[in-house]
Amino acid sequence: MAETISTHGAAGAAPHLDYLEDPKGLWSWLTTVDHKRIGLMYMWSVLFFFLVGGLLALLIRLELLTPKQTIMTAEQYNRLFTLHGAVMVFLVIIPAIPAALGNFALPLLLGAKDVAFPKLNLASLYIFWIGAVMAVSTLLLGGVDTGWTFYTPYSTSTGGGVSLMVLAAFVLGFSSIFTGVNFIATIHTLRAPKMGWFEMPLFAWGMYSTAVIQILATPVLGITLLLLVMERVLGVGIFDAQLGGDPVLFQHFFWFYSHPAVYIMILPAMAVISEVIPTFSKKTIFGYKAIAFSSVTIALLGFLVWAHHMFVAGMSLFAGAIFSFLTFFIAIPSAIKVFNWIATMWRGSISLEAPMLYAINFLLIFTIGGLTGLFLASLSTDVHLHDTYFVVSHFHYVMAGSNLTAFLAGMHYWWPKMFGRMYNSRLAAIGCGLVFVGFNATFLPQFVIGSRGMPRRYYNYLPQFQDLHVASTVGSWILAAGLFLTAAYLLASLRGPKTAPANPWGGRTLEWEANSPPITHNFEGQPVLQHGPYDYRANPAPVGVEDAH
Amino acid sequence: MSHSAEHHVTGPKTYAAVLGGLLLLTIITVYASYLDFGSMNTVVALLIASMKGALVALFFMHLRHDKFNAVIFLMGLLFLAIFLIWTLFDINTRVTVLPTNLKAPVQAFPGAPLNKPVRPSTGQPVGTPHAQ
Amino acid sequence: MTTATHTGHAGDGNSKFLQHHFREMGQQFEAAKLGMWLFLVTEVLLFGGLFVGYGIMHARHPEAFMAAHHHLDKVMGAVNTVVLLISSFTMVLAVWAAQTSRRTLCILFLILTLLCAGVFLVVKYFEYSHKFHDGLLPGKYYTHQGDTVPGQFMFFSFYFMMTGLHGIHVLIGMIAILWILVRAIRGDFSSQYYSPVDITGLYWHLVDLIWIYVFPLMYLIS
Repeated sequence: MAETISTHGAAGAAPHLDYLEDPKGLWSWLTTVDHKRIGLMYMWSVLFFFLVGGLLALLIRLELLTPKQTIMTAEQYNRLFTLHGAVMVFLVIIPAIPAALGNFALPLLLGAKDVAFPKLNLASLYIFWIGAVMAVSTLLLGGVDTGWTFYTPYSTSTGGGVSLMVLAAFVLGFSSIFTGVNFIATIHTLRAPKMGWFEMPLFAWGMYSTAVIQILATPVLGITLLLLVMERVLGVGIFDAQLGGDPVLFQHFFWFYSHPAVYIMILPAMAVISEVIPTFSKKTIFGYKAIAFSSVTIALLGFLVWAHHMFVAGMSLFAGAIFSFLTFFIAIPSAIKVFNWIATMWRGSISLEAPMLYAINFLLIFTIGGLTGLFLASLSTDVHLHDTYFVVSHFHYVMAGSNLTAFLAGMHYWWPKMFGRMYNSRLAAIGCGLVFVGFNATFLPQFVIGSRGMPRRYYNYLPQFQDLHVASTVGSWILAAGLFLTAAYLLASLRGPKTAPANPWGGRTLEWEANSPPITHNFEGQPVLQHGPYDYRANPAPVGVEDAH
Repeated sequence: MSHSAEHHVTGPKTYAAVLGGLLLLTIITVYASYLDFGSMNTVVALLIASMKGALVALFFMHLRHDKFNAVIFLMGLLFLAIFLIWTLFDINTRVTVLPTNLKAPVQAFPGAPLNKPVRPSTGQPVGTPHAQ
Repeated sequence: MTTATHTGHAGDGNSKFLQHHFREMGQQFEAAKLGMWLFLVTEVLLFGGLFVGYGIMHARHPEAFMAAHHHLDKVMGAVNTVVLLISSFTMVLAVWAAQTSRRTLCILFLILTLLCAGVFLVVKYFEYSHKFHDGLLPGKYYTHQGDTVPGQFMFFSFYFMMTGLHGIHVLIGMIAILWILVRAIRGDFSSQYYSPVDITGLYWHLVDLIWIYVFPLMYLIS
């Protein structure tokens, strides 16, 4: 370790400076190809849009405090929940873990110096920014009131900024594809010497499965959205029944991407949890291969079930039965993962640091979200529950709750590695508790409201639902309080000195061999793997670092 | 990772032969379009196109010596097939059910055939006399 | 996997084109090629979506599509097919020339490929202007008079979307080839380093591959 990397580049910059400082200046950040800096810029962007989407959510909940109009009209409400959905899905949940945490952590976990295509990585960030600006600027065109799913025929007949929002999603798709291409190529070609496929940390398996979906599904969304724009601009007819087209076909096109996309949201979350749980249980992960293969299985099975979103859309009963049947299979790999995580914790020496608290949080929220999915997967039950608050609650549990808690778990886990600073762990525990209570208080009542028949996407409702809606709205305030507290102590930690040790949690994966924060090229020399990623049995020298000459 | 590190170099003669094959198949497909195979017309056209595509992929794109990337490419085609077939599960088994209060059949555009609509009251295709 | 080239710095036995995060040229070449193939898969699915939509709408309105396709010029379509096939041939020869360090031949074949691409676009221009003149336009802009079979506008919706998207890809391919040509003239490529030529070639062949399917589906319905 004492050897330094030989001076690279003619400038002969001091090699020991961390990536946050080397080189300095805004311009050096905007033109960087360093995966860690790109990951951080993604993270700040995602957090910004999370704030935007979250404030919109608070407004939505505030409107639903009373049965009649509270603070906005029905039209404003439609525009608000559409923007909330589009911002949260396309600008927060999809990029949150892969593009932000994955970009930062994946090369470190593999012992690589960077992702395979650093310039493509930077391009993906800029494309993300362009898409984000396009999405938000629809507000100037009067907003979008279609819901984030852009269903025809409404989306081809309503005014406002639908075309711009749709093009924004198209552009954001490219950003997602570039990240996927980068991760697959990185995992194939840049693993540390002696790191076989089954010596990879499970995070990499999760990112790989995610990338497979990003590559196979996103282009179909791209063409769907282009067809929708063409329908609006030219009247091409494919989705318009009056012109001989088929509006239900739009839903097939849309969900061929958007159902796998929910696995783009959940697989990275599972990937983070698979790292956090063994580290804080000080125990080898239980069922490494089962977890790895279940990620791939979820990715592939996820392509066969999309039309369970369309049971009441006028699809044929035959197709409905097939899609319902296939959907149940998704439960198997998901359950395999949950059981393996619990088995990993069993008889481990668990330390309840913030990342672990969030991981446990995840297990509970994901289990509720996953199991309520089974109600919706069965054809007949779905007729009753479709488009009710039950669906809203279900997908917030799996997409928002699970993804968010896993993102927070990962952020707290790698925060010392990212910035070289520790945060206040007592405040972190309080924040995690508030998030857990707030989230469940917000969404558990919605299962009840939904099963009693309240449809989604309405700004007013029958008076008998008010008690539960009030509980839900108060829950959203608790959730917000927890998140603002989290933001406060995390930002406060950045003002302190960089005193975090290289391996604060006693992790056994390669990123803990790098400094906190790492140097620009991650490692001094090329790390060579000498034990498995979750090997807590003995206490050997974790890895050998081959000295560079 | 060493499989294509040897960098197979195929010579111009092979490529010329492949081009010859492609041009021949182009002539065949144009010729075939004047023949009538009934419902198999599209199948024949797609079959010839796939032969041409295979030539391009295997020789020009070197998938002959690149099994790994060939698998990736085939994955793309496989998932495209899934997209088509799973969508057809719906499209091919769907009957258009008209609302009972509909006065006249939906007309896509003047003279266009309807997509086998059925009157829910009688189960008979639209157009058959309505039993009173 | 040898450990001899772990430092991965330019100039220690590897080409000057080795990027810092790769250990050796072979690894970098594999990564570039894999990345391109993954991108091509996304292209297949992008066009695939259009093909699926076309297929389903064709099955829905067979008479309209049948009648509409007679407005297309089979000869022009066939000429363009041949031109693209030849351009694929010259492209693969450019790759071969780069692989075998034949710089002049590489430049020559790249120029020939560009010429073929240009011919393709010129033919396309004549086809398009003919359709514009006759009012054979997509969707609500379809103004062609005297149709006996209704609904032909939808065929032209797909015709312009598919050939248009393909045409955009031809343009992007031409820009990529132009960039490769500049680098070939500069003398960047040799048997040690030719992956930009190779992956640009892959992209160009895919553009050809897509046309191979567009041609019979659009021009040769029977």
